[in-house]
Amino acid sequence: MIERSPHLPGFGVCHGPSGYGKTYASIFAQNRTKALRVEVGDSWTRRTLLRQILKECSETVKERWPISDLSDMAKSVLAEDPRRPLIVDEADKLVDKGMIEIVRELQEASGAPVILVGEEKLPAKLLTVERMHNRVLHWFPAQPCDLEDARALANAFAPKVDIKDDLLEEIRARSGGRARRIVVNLDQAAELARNKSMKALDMKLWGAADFYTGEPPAPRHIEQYPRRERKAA
Amino acid sequence: MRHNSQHYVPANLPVRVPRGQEGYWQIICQLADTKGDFTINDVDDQSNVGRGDIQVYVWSLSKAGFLDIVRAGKANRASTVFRLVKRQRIAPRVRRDGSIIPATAQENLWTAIRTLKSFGLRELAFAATTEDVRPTYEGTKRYVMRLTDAGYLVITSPSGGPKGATWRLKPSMNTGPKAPERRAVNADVMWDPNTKVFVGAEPIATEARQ
Repeated sequence: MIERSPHLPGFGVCHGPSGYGKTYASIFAQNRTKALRVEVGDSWTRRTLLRQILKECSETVKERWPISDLSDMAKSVLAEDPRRPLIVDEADKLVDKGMIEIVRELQEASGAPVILVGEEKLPAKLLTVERMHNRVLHWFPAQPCDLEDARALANAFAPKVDIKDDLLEEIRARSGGRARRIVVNLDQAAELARNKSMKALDMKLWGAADFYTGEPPAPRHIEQYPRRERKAA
Repeated sequence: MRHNSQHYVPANLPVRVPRGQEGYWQIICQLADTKGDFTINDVDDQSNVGRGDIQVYVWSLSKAGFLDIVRAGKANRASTVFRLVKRQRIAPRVRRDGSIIPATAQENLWTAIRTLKSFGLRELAFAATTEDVRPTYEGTKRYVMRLTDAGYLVITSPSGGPKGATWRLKPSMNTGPKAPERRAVNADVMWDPNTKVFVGAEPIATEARQ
């Protein structure tokens, strides 16, 4: 995205369900490229959006500046660094609020690459905005974890326990490949290993312990309490 | 003759002279806007530090490809004329051989803290890791403790469990993109480069010993 030629569209879209590690990826991208990142809030207006972007550029703005001035300033600031990307997290909220046009304007005027990060439905939402969707250069869906990724997570989050491949694969599958759930299960594994003072864990040692799948509890049948039987009259 | 000088009221005007690499970069960008090509002398004129520092920085910038040499100096290197070719807002941090200095671990950690909002130490160290910067567990802990002492973070669950403690960034202390850093002035407090204030405990006035 950064090295694209200037005539190419400047938007990238990263989408995926929650817990796939989009946020971690955005931190990584931020640290690597010195990108600016804003996370859109529910209560945001156009003004807050522009103010937050300017704040990320270490610019101070006066309270009562009109939006057009803020927008001009943001454009000029972004244009000063046309290789520094702007990451907009929760970008689907921008589409919902009809504020995506501001971001498009900023991108077009400044030429800086803009990465929109959002939920799985973000591409579909962007398609409804005619002027947006053909300005997207790359769509990159977040991928579920494979065994190698799960291994990397295990090394980072449960470094003291050697988790064998069979258990790790089971954890990965039961977590649906979602990094966040895998980490919760790894925490449990680390705790189990500590309690049993084990150095290594495999499927046999894990036994019948539950996995964290994020499934909500099944509805209870509240009518199933024992009733006093009515005596026949 | 003290009474003779009473017409001259000493005025204390704080004038900020750009210094340090950030300052030189600012001067270079301004020169590029107003003058176009420039020499090391032009940069030196607008700052008040020794030439050596500026010379080193300008030559490293040219090795790193931020500056082009338009005309090499004939008699001495000082008359070399440079042109700014790669512009950016943040001053590039370069070594003498022109290689880029990667971000510090603290900067990576601060970025991760601002994004994660709530985190444990292992999680934070993992999130802040890139190819060239790998914060250690101990270093992460030290920085988090410093930020907690200075009032940036609150502990949301104390340590003791297998997962260890978790912290949260106070929303009001999410001051901006630059990482607060430890500065030994006369007192040991945190410096916030966004709001440009020292944060934390009341600085205890002590003599700075050389």
